[in-house]
Amino acid sequence: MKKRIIRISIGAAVFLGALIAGAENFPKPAGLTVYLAAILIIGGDVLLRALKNILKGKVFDENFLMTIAAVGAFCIGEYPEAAAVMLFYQVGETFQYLAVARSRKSIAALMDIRPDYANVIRVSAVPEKNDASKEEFETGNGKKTEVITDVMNARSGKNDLNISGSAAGQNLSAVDESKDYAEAKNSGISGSAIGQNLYAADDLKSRSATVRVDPSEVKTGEIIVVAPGEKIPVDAVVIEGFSSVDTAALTGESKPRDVAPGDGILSGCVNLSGVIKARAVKEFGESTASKILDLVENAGARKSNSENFITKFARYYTPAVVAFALLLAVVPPAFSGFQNFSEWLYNALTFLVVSCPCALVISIPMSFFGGIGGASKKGVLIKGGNYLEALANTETVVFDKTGTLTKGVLKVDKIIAPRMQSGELLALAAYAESYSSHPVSAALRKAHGKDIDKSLITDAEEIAGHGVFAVAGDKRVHVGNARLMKKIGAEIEPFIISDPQGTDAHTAPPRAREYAEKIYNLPSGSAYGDKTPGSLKNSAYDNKIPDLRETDAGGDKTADLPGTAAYVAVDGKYEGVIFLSDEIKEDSARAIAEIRAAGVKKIVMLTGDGEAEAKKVADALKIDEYYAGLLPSDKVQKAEELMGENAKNSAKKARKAKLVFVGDGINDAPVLARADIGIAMGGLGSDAAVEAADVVVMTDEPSKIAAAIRTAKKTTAIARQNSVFAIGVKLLVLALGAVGIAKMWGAVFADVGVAILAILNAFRALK
Amino acid sequence: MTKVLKVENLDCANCAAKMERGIKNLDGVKDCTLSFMTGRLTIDADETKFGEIIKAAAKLVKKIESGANLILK
Repeated sequence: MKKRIIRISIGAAVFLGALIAGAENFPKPAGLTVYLAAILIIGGDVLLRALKNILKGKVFDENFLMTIAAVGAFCIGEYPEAAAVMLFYQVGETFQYLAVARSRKSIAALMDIRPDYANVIRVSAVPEKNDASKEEFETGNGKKTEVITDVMNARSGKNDLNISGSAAGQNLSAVDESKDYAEAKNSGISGSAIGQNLYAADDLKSRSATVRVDPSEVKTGEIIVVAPGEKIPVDAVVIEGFSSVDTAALTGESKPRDVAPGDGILSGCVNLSGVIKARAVKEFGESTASKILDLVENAGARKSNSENFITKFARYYTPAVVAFALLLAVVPPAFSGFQNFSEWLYNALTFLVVSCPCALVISIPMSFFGGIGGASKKGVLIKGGNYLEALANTETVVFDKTGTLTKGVLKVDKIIAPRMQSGELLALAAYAESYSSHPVSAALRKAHGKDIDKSLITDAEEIAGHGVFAVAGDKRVHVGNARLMKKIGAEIEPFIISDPQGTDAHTAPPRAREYAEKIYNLPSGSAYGDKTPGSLKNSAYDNKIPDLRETDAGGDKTADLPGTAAYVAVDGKYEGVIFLSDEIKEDSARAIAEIRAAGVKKIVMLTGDGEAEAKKVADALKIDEYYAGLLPSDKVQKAEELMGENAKNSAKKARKAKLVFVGDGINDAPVLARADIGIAMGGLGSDAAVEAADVVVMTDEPSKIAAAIRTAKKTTAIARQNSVFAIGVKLLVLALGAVGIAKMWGAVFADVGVAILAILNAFRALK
Repeated sequence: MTKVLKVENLDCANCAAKMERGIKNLDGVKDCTLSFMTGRLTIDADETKFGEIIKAAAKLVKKIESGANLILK
């Protein structure tokens, strides 16, 4: 590249010198030679390539076009023009090359999550005394046993130690060590290292050392060490040390995350504060960093419509312009008896210069690539230019509720305690639930907020399908559903809820008995339907739900109160009820507002939960429409209906208006696949989500969806500007060139200038 | 089956489009995409013909842009 720049500079100097000296006015051989030299120095490589291409039968190549233009200009005596064409073309090409290289580099740097190395703890080199292949061991019964530490043989079978001599007298330690063999073999430790494992375990530990290897060489199960400032090479689980990690490269989240032993760490994150040891749980190729890089690199394969359009356009544009140039050179002069042939030839050559398609073609993929890179910096992975383009045309966004707009975690909402302080009731419930791992129990304990003195609990029992029973202090406490109350003969007392949601939206004050019935009458597939977080399943409360559904008379399709209820009875007597509901994410409201501000016309929420819960969330977030009590199959159907409506109501052409479905990527894969664009939330570390969706939001913030739509709009705007600008300038120059106003060098300048401006414009998509 | 290859030193966007088109038209190729920005070439083709296809593709790449190289990833 440097050489090329020097060469062009020298050629430019020669050209400039000739121009100043007025070499074109020199006697013919001298002037001609000077300019010819300039052209050859500047554009020798172009001429050569053009010649090669002609021999291969390839025309319409830009080298060819430029050569024809320069040679043509030279032939009609326009020496300075010929040299200028070459000079501008070469300068432009060089700039273009540099700009492309820079943008490729800056995008690569943006996605610089690829770790360079890994520090692995492995057994170090063979110590001197182990040089011999035979070692003598003192056996348990005092007999000497010869053990051949023949690595090749040892490797032939897992526990198949080749022990010659007395197999019977084999000592215990050798047996133990055969396990080490197996382990060593499994972790792929080299042959010489295996030999060493015949030594005692502590000896082995003292000889193990940290080695620096390529991340792809780390096997699962191996222990890696990550120092502060280093990238985590593979997905792993911390076993030693405390630190915080910067996940910004993966999530766009600037706040570091604290990690402690037992926590998972993902490749591509940067360790910030302390040294940590971790056990690799995935190989490099399967780790998060590789997956993300692969995905982003692959995004180029799914091309946007504008890119397809521009390449198609270029395909016909060049031959058409060349054909037109030919006509221009021949037809008009024919009418004037070829008097002004060279003038028209000149115009035709200008055409040839403008016929180069690269400026058109380069800017579009670059804009989209920049947009995809920019989005990934914000923690949003977009799987292709086509999806980015579709996102920009989003008119309807459909959210699945649980885990997307809400946290999918229960929280205490309301406590009804007619005869005691609500805190007291909560404490009793929390104590009774202290041994349960159920989300309801967790929520109650969290709401209680104080440490639970487990010594006070003398008896605890889970009553499957009903709830729990425990003796806390001198009280016998039952906590569970209405069925549990019925079972133990505790009568639920009437109560009035003036404002059950804490909002004015709902004012129905059902009496307790009615309420209990409402809970019974949940529509099938609701409340704890398909979208229940995984942990909610397989435990006591879970069983209660099908039980409740079985009692469903089938009439009432709505539950008047949101959430779930935990009834509390003390010593067999009803004492109150605690309502729990799923918490709305902090940034959900902002996300909805931002999505609307980004130009989305309709926001819809689908949920398997009951009507009341759905209404509460929809009202709180100002969602346009919601559909409650849906089964997974209902959701697909609903999404299809909405897509039809979306297309019908749109002012744009029906096929352009897009519908986005946002889900957690685990339970809603069919809807993700069916929607125009499926967005999965919380994709970091979830292969299923990454697999199923077109767009993956790495964190669980719904506001990232607004950011993604904004990036998409900006990117498509840039792409549009670039194509309109490039085509516009080309047509203008063609028009001016046809009538002889635009000079040839001006045409070159316009051509490469447009390309460079388009590239610079494309850079904006990165931000 | 689909294979991912890489084209190095890809400097001209229109050439990339031409290569993609050319490889798509090779015998046995079902689909092909070439990303100008990353140089990533994805070929979906009959497994039995893959050897010939890659050879033909390499030739095509060279023919369209002499500085570019098809490499196996």
